[in-house]
Amino acid sequence: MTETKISETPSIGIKHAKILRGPHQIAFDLTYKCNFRCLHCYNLSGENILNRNELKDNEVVSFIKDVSKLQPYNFCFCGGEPLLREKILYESAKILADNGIIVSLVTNGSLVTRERAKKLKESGVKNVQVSLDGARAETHEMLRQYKNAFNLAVNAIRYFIEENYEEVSIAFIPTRFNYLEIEDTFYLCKELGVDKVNVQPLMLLGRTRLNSDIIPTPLQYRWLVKKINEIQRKYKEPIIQWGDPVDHLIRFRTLTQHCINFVTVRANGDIAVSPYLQLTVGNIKRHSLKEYWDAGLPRIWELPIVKEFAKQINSVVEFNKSSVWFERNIEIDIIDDHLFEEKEVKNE
Amino acid sequence: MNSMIGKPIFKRENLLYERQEKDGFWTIIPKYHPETRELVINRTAREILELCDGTKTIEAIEKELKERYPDVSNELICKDVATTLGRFSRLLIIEWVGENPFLYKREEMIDNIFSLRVAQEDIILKLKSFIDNFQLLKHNVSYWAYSNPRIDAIFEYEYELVMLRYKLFTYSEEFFLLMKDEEIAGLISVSPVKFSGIIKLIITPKEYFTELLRYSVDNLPFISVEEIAKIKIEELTNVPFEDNFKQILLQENFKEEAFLKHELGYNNHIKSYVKMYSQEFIEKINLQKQKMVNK
Repeated sequence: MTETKISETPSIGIKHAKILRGPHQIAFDLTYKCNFRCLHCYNLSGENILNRNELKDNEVVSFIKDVSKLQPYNFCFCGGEPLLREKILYESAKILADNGIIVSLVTNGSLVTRERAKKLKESGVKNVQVSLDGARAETHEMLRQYKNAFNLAVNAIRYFIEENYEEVSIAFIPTRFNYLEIEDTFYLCKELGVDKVNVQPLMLLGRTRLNSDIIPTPLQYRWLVKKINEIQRKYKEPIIQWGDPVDHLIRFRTLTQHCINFVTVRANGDIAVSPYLQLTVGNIKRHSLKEYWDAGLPRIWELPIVKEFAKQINSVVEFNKSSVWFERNIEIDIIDDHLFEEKEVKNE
Repeated sequence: MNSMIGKPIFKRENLLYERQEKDGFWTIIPKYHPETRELVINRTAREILELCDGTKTIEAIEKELKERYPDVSNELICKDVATTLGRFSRLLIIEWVGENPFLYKREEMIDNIFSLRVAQEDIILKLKSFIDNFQLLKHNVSYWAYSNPRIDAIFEYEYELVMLRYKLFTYSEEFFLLMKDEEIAGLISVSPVKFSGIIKLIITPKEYFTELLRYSVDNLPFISVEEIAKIKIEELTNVPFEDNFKQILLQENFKEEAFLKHELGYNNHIKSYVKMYSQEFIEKINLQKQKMVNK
């Protein structure tokens, strides 16, 4: 047995946390409003109570300007459906892009017209991800619960490709009724010219909990992964990936706890430790993202409370232990609660 | 989702041989099994098989037996049903309308204490603590603790929590577990690469090794995310297998396949043993998988 231990790594993490000006990746839920009511939506977008507290347009702009100063590598607009706040989306994307930041967008595609695809591109959006859960309208719409959603999504993909976006990807969520279509969905994407097919398991969060009978069985999941492996070997493009939503919850609390370069901000300005945990550590209405960053945000996963939260979840099925969106979040504030100052004092 | 609740069917045509013996016992030889195992089964097992007509759920079968034998405890009946259906599913004598629940939901009983199952992602923490005992169990005389010689030097990294999560999530290593109630008592892990499964870990009480090995070998082609034609174990010739251990491998039809000279550095030779699956077995399994997937 070799004696190489990971004990060398923490010092690198701690050093990076001190050096970095800000996060490299930021995900921002522009709104939780959504015109869809997807069976599996993990944050119950559509009728969420947080709607009332969402950042106002001027607050969004001020946040975006703040972010621009930090110059992250990538900024992603998520939701809800971000295009329901179209105007502020264009404005924000432009500010970010003018500052050299890659702007990404996640959308259900339903509101994307040729004109909007053009306008988003002109505003500076480079990467887009459209949800596509099958190769047939019937399948896609069973999950999305929205008439004509399939054609709208496919058209959105077409428009984005016509506009020559840097990267057009799709997200496919396997369920019992669509997992057999993975291959056909891949071929459809290939035909359309999609760059990437992201496949991620259903999580027992949000609306999925009310629809848990759509979760594939263990054998169906294995079949799906086998298919993905086969496709990967056969085709270089589009890239197809089987993504793990749990990985970061384990990785962040173990290997990389001393420096996390990824930040999630919710529509109401809450800074969440993970999109999937009900723990927030600040709000950009109280302090700027830069202030939080300098106060210890990159080291947030060192905090025992964060680790305790994350420890509950070591597998996809365990997401039902966390109650994101069903109850209020647990809120702490690393600045107002002096969490890292106390820690430094104790360390001394 | 009632259609997903599996209903077992006894496939008499999948028997190569059957004979009624004395006192209600039967001898059977399964047709599709890689190596023929003559099995002597008792009356209860036979009765359970007869009840499997593809229309009854496990619960319905248990209920029927409870009515027939009111003096027998519920617990014993459930155990008998689990043991019979689990084992015979593996030998392809039982097939399922819907999904075979024994791989995941219900484990296959070995005796009153130990059972077998395939690891799912949510067992990760128990799996981690069990594997962390590897070194300790290596020195325990009642255990066998083997790790593939290629991973010896990187063992700690290979089974870091994040790596273990990766293996479970991508099914790039399957863990066949020996369970004592809800605790892991032993395991065999196998990495499926194209056409072969490579045994990575064996940590098991010696007396349960054969059962656990058979379970792993039988189930691998069924659940694997790669096509499997054989299963392989590698021996570092400097650290040869114990005689008893090797004996079991040979009994279970593992055959010497290759001798790789200096494979892991000078004088570190590797000898590999493989067990080939029969073509019929693989075809049969693929057919069954297809049926389940198309459900």
